[in-house]
Amino acid sequence: MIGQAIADGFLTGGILALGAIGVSLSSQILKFANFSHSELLTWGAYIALTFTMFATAGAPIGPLSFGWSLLFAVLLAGVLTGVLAIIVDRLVFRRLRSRHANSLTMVFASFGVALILRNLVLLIWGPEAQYYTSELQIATEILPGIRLLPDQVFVLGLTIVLVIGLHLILKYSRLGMSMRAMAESPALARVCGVKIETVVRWTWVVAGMLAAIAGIFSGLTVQLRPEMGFNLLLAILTAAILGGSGSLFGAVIGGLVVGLAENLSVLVIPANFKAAVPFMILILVLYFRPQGLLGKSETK
Amino acid sequence: MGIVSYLIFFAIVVSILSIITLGLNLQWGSTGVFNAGVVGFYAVGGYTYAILTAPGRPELLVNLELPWILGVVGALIASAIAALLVGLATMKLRGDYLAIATFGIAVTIQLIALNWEGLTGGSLGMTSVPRPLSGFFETPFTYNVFYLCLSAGFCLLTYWALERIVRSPWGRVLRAIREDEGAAIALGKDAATLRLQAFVLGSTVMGLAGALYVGFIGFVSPFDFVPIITFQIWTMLIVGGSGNNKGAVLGTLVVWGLWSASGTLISKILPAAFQTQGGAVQTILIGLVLVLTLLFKPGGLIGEEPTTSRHAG
Amino acid sequence: MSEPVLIARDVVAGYVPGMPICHGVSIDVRPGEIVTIIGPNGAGKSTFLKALAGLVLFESGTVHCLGQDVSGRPSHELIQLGLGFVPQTGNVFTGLTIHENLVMGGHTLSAAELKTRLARTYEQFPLLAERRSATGGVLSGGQRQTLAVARALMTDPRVIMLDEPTAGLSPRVVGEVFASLRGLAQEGVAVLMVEQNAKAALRISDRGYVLAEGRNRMAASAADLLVDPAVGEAFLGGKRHAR
Repeated sequence: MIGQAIADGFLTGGILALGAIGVSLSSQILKFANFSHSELLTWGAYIALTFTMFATAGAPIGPLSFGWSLLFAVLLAGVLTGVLAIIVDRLVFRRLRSRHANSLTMVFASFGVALILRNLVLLIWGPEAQYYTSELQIATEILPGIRLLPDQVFVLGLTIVLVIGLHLILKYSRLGMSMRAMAESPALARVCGVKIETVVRWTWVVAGMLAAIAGIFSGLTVQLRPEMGFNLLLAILTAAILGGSGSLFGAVIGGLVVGLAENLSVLVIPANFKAAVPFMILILVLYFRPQGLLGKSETK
Repeated sequence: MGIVSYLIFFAIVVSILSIITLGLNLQWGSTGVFNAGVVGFYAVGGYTYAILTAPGRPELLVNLELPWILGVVGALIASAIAALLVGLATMKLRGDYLAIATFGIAVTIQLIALNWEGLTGGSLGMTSVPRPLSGFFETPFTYNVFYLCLSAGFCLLTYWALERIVRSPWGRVLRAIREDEGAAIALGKDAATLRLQAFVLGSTVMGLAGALYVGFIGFVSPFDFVPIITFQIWTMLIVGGSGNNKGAVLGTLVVWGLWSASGTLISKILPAAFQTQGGAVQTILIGLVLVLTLLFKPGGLIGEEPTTSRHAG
Repeated sequence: MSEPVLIARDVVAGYVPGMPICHGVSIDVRPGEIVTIIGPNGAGKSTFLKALAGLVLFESGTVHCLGQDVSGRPSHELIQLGLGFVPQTGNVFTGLTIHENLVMGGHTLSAAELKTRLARTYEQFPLLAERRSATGGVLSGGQRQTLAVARALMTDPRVIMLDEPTAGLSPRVVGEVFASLRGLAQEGVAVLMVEQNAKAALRISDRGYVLAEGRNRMAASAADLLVDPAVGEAFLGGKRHAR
């Protein structure tokens, strides 16, 4: 029972982590809490759905419920969601930045952007729940008492690969370095010759891609609904805060903590209240460690 | 007759929503407290009113059947207590973090409303909640006229009280905190306590609106307190002009007018099968209005009035 | 005398539109010369330097750098052109290692150029080579300043601007920083700095400008400024600067 809850917690946690990394990157580099980030998850999931509707999810690979075309759809949806994020930035956030609007104005704008993006999904794809495939899967026993679907194993594995890949990019590539530099001091990054708008654009691309993949994973392991991203928003924001600023692995750990806590909580409280768990953690963390679990205390 | 009764209905809703927007303006416009959980306090007020006044049912925990006015008083007290608890835990947080924390509160309150069936009636909610003084009116029309007087009266009272407050020494200190917390603390003001006071008072006002809303429609359900209300109220405040009570009311009128008009239009044009999509268009409009206001008229329709010398310059 | 490589004329700049802090400042800097801007607090010295570096709102005036009109151009273009800037505060990335700080300094370089410049920098500053994996945050004030200058030199700038390079440093380190600036000037780099430590700065400078209330007040050779009684009373003799 506990073993299964932990396994499910890792799965949820992985999806949340991908979302939280995006939120964390944008809050460090773009300097505001993006309440519309969750809608990028939804858009990513639905873009991939549209692709699989044309191409089907492909002949299943091994025990998975989908084939190569869904994997291709993941890539395509990632890129297109990145592009969507850039378009939104051009239309809204960049204009506010160029006016030196304060960060809370950006948060308000993200409220509006979230309403628009979410309801466009509803308008385009309709309110009904949808699925990538109708293939049935049999859960296999991975460890004694722990059963996972092959798709879930795939999701976990790919999440780990993505996180490590992103870590390497941030650590060693010059783009990654300029992103970290921008996060610490935009002014100093500028006098190093960094083009701010280029870094901002790449930040949106990375955040958008990860969001899309998180959305697809969520759609694959649960289902697609227009409010799927919004329902994860609180958990994602909490995971990002838990991780504190400055650390990729912080966001990952934040995601895992929230995912595990949600799934373990079901053992003690009614499942209906599961969604309140991130909030409880959030309040506790903010009360005792306003800088996050791993973050250093900020000097203002 | 049809149009008149519709306008009365519209005016009742606007006056109730204006009360919420005024409460938010005290928190954000005057004090700079970023409450992204508006709907939570509105729900606490509405549910408290229903729980205290609704006719007894064996499956419910609370069966007090109190008179409506005590229901309203109870709603004020309950939302104040909720805000106090939340505020004690969060008032030291800044901007974004406070927004996320309060957003979480609203999610949690809605979960409780949905799932604590013994207290709230669960997803079905509670019906036959008494409407204030409904026994004295023979037709729905005359009752609505009365209710407009009641809700508009409460709205005016709130407006008047908040105007007094903003112009009082206390209100000026709140503004000083919003402008520059460091300076306000240096002047010996306990900024955290003052922020908490403004947060509790603003949330209490939102609770009042919740009670008036439930008293008007005569039932309560979790679907009347969905998260989008928070964003609608924010849109109203920003469109009208944050920091200005007149702006808060005007913004409510404009945004709710747009919402209702677009809703009516869509229901006329679209076949019944596409009504969900119609609702989506309505919400997209709200989002657009918010974003466009921030981009092209950041001060809102009427900007902030200079109330202290430092704004006069 | 050679032509100036940095020419600023009537620069009006600030942080808020319509509320400039510099109300029209003009300067020239020639290759191989050290020019110091002094003036009371709030004279707009720092803002002026930031305006030349493309960091604040440039309202009007002209700036020519290395023969090109760069008035109001963004930082990254100026850096590419051959300008280096060392800010006063936050002049190194505290969360990045020394090596990464230097790589950021060479952000505009190609991979091959970056490699040779890194090797040269490590040769020139053995201390940085030794501690290349330490994060910027753990360095002492003097080490930070060294890193900040080394970072700005990664692109081989022909004009380098420094905002209070000796603020908060011990007298011995101040001497080292000034000596390294002298060395740069001898190589033909144009050095422009803003200094509170006016007396010491003028001693190693060729010329100086006095700014007050966002405008030029005086311009003279450093030697003349050092003995000028008005300047001495206002900026050099005060106890605050008696280092």
